[in-house]
Amino acid sequence: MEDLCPHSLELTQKMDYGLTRRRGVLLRLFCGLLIASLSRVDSAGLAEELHERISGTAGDVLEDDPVGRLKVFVYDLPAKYNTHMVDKDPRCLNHMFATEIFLHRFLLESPVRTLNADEADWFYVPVYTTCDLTSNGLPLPFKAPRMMRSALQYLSRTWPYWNRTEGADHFFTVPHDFGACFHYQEEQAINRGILHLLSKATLVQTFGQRFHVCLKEGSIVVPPYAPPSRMQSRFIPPSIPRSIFVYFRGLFYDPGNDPEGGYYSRGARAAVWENFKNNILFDISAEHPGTYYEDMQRSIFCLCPLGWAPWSPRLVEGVQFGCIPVIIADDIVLPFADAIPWEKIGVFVNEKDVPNLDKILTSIPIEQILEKQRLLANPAMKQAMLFPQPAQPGDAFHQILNGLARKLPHNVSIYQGTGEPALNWTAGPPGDLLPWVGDKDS
Amino acid sequence: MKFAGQRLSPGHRAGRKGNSPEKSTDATLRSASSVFRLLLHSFFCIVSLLLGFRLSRESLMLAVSVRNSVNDLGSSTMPAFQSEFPVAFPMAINHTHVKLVQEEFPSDLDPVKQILDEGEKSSRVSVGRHQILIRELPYPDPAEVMKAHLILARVQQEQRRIYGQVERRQPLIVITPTYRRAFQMLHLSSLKHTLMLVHAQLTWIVIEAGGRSTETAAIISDSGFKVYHLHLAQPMPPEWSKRLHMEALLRLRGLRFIREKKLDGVVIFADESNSHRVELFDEAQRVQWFGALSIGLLMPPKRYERGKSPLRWDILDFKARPLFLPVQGPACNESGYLVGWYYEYGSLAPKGNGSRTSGGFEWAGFAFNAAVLYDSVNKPSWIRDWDEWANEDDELRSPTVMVSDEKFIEPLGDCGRNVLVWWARSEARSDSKYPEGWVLSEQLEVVVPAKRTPWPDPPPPVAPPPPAAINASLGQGSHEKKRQGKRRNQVKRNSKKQDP
Repeated sequence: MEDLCPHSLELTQKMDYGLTRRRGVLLRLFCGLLIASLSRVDSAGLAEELHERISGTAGDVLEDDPVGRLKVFVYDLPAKYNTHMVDKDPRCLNHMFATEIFLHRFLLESPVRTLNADEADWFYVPVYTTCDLTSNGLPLPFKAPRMMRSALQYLSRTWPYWNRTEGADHFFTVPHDFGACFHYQEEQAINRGILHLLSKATLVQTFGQRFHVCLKEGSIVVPPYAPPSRMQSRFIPPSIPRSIFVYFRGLFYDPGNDPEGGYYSRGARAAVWENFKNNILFDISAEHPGTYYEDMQRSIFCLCPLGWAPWSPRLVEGVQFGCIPVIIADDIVLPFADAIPWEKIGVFVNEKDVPNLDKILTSIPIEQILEKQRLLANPAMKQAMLFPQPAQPGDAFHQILNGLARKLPHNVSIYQGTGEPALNWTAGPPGDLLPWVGDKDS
Repeated sequence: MKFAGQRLSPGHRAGRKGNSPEKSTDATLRSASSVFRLLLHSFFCIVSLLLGFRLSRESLMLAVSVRNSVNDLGSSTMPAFQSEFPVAFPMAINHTHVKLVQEEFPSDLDPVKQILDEGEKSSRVSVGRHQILIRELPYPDPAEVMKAHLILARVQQEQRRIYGQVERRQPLIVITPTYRRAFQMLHLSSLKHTLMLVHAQLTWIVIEAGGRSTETAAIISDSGFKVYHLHLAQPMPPEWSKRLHMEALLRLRGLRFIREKKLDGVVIFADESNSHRVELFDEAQRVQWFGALSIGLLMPPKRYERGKSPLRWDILDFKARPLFLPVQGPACNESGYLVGWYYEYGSLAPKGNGSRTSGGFEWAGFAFNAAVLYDSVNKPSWIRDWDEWANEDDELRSPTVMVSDEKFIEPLGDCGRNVLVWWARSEARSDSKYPEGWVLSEQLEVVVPAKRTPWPDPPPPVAPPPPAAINASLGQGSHEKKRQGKRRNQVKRNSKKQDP
């Protein structure tokens, strides 16, 4: 690249003085920036021993700073759509779907927020659809489509921005099992499909599976929420040797909902159990140990098989604790897949190859294993999977904003009515069309 | 991971029980098939309730057995199900009759390639019941186990390399008092072998009571690192209680040597009868000025000092004070600073500035920078000068005489939690005899004849006597030692003959 710099000198001499002055300065600035960035890379080499820099398909994007690259306007919806739900049931703040709540809170305080909606690039609609919990704390998504419709009706009445683009520059958080399909059972979710009103908007969701109805193109896949303090309080010294080869704790069969097996996790977890329950290399069990986090830090591989949905918090935990995730979920789309090179970090195993899992894992060359561990040791990687409060640079909130910023600028066609029919407000099953009133159960 | 109870909504539960007869439909018969499906569903539900088992399974086994040969799990002929009713293939219902996967290693198992396969336009994944794939011999293959262990070893080595490094490496100076006795060979040679395993630059100072002897010199000579053999002329007193002071004097002699030579490094007191862990020597290199670590007491040293045999803990040790843990060492607060001491009878709080509570602790539990002995300029103020404390008439129970304020002592070994050295002193009686250098001369003779002795009469000479017999200089006069190498049966025969 240095040959560009003397070239700039030639330009300044040859061409017109007034024209080239600006151009030469620009080129010199560019050279200066180049040299500065190269020196920065050299100093980063000191830390290379401990961890390697994550270079995704788009470069070192994990460390991008979204501030200044986009502006987000947060709608001030009535409290019945968001804060009242949390007040009614504060358990929403701790379960794995709490992303929507914390993203809302983050955006309210973030420097990317703008109060002037006319200059905003993105619009955030804070609707807490997974905060309707049963008595044992599990969210029921049955009323979520109605809630969303009601919110969007309010939105389109109160502000002109929804009707301007029909939601193409709006984004929503739908962290539930199958995202905006709003059902926990996969067949029903596929039946419903993504809520029709959200078909143009950008969705921030945890569910990601290729060629699936419930993942639309352009969605931002995020990790499930796990309280960072709970994991970070359980670190053990990194010098403690990793002595477990493969580790997994969780259900293999779901006797309550799938007694015969074969439905739950598409039979993959059951295959892991049946094939490797006698294998000393596999520390797998359905028991719940008190040393779960410490054991993960003593393991080389942590299995992350699918359950009822392909994603699981084990991925986040494995990344936190330096345990290489072994992802057994066909066609899964992992969080921030455009920023994090997951195939360099984790091991992907097809569900049909589960019986040969031990052969697969032991045949990985040792240099690859060490490199994966070095990539996992990168603090940027660990930070990108977390939702800490208050937000820290490089965390998952910022990665979401980075993802939104990468989608800018919007295609101008979204602003002009292109002759496509407007969104059909009456599409969907008739049960969705019932009105939703917040506080009362209707 | 899903919660098990997630799907226990009331309507859902009943729906799951009599599971739908999975039948494939095509788009045109969709509505008719859904009605039919509903009817069949309710029929099977009722019948199952009556019969007590799932009728749908059994009937489907028949239907499926034909279909099994045709349909394949996850085949590419299955249409993309964005627009169609999802087809659920009823493959293995009962998971004990699962399809067995071939034993050989499939060739397309490169995990990376699967993700990057751009050519697929449709999903390989289908909703519904899938087979649980079990291979023929779901037992660990020993070759794989071996490979996994190699991977584990390599990963741990890398961990040690990255995280387990000692921050700085300093040379070590080991001080060992010794004297000639029966157990010297046992203790000193094992200490030598321990020191030979240490990955550090080592200087060994051995101070002998009663003058330099060839025996000691023979033991310490072939160690491979630098050894200084010093001595004090005064012999080790035979009474146990006086030996403690003598050992302290020997150590002091070693420290004076270091001071004269201005040796560099960390001073460790390795008594020859102690057992050391190699990690002790790594920890000692972290000492900046004065450090303390925990030692385990496998026998009560107090008994040794009082002159009783220190071979075991006795009820008498418990009478005075109840015993806690047989450990002597530093005690820290949460931030890792030394706040007191811990010894076998409990904890010792510091008594205040200027007093030493660790006065009775073993020398082996302390390590300090050699510079404090001679470098009065740079050493910290809380370490006293040599002239102040190195007085041979004093008691000198532990090296903390050097320290004027104990709270600056650095705790080592994870703040005293790692016990890195054990005090376990076993000795023979002070008047016990042993062959010099533990080398038996050629001929042994019975020293004390007895009436019913198992030793034989001197045999007729079968071979010329060997030329040089080393005369052992034992206290009891010089007897010629005859060789005891008679065969067992001859011994027995001879002894039988001698019986009256």
